Amino acid sequence: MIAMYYQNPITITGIDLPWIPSMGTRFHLSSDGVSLLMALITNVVVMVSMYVTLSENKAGQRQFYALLLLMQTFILGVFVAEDMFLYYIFWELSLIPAYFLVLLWGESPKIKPITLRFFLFTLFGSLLMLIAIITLGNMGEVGNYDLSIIEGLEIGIPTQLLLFVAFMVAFGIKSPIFPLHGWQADTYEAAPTSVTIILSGVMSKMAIYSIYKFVLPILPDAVNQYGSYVVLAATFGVFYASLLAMVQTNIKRMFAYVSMAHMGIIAAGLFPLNSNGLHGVMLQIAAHAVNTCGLFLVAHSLYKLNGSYDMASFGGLRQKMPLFAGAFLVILFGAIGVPFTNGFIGEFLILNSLYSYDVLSAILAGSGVILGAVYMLNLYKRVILGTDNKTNYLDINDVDKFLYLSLVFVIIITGVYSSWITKLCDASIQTILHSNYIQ
Amino acid sequence: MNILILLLIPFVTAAALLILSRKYTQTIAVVSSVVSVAVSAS
Repeated sequence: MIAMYYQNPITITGIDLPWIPSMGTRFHLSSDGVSLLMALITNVVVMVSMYVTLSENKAGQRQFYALLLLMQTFILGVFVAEDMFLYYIFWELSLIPAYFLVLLWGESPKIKPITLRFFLFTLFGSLLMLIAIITLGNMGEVGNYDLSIIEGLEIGIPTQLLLFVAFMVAFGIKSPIFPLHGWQADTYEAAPTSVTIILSGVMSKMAIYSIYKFVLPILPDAVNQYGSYVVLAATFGVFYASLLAMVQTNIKRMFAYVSMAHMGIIAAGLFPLNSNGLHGVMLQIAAHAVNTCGLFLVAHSLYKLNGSYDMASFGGLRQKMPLFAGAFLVILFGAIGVPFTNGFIGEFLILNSLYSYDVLSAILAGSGVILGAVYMLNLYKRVILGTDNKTNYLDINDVDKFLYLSLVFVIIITGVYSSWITKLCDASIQTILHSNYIQ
Repeated sequence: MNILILLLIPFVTAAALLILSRKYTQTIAVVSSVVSVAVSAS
């Protein structure tokens, strides 16, 4: 679809059918460059997640894969829904398979309270969002949840502020943005790795996409007046998550905080409201999805070696597993944003736009990036370059080899040639900026 | 091409896994995910 969209955007059609006429809701799906990018990312991340499970023989395999595929369906629905009520239904539905996947196939003895916390956090945010959506849908003369109608509403500043708070709590929990991250590290650590990859690689992006798609065009005055508070919270979260990542000894939990730090940078990049920042966000969304897949895949490969995520139980793996060591290095470079890898350009554009928006936020985000390089290289030193612990590990098998090499290829290619993402998203970004923010 | 097809591929596969298939579960799921990527990139 992306190739077809490049040739002629009209060739990608949507669907618009009456759904519940008495409520004014429609089954309206449509796409632009950004939603097609999100759909591609979703499908790639789910594919990686499926590959991760290939070497495992899970109990209840049929149910497991069916739930993964249902989650994929509902997440895709979030990215292409043009009716806000339909969007909400997809958003809520995506939580149900996620809940059961974590609860039934989770890897922690405390899985029940962890899953309950994940569910309650997300549900609380969703309820606030539902109230906001119902308010918006009933603001016009005739109840209507279609995005094109809602975007045209004249909303007073006090109402915009209340709606902004409701939406940002919902999206701040899902992303997560500091201080609404309480569910994240435990859930990412306890979930099966294939599910963690989807939670981190795609579900967190649902929140960023939603801010971009709904909050920026519908609530421009609230974004202009109060966006700076979100930027400050998000960038402080980058710094805070980086500090937490530094002191972790559990590799999977450390990657959970790495993911939170990166999501903070992405969320902050939305609010300076300039073309560079938004393009940086889209690039970083794509980069984070690939890199986070890679990082959790690394954690999974290490866990398969000796059944532990403890950093101290590994050392000197470069001698026994040279291919794994090389692939891990490239993934790590992507995650810390080394030039010519996918993480560099997006991070640079976001930091650049943050600097012109608020210097303190830029410093907080920048320090998170520097700390990121410190703890990631320290991890690599201890696990790959450290003293050989004399265990006879075998290098990655053929399935993993294919997966790692594919990820390395994408990290480098997207780092060198990222303009396909900016071209794909440009029309959508310019529409949002020019209709609401650039006079 | 209609965007609805992106949602139908995983949804129909999930339904097929639950209702019909007791064999080749992994293969069907992986093929579905590869087809989804191919359709969204094509």
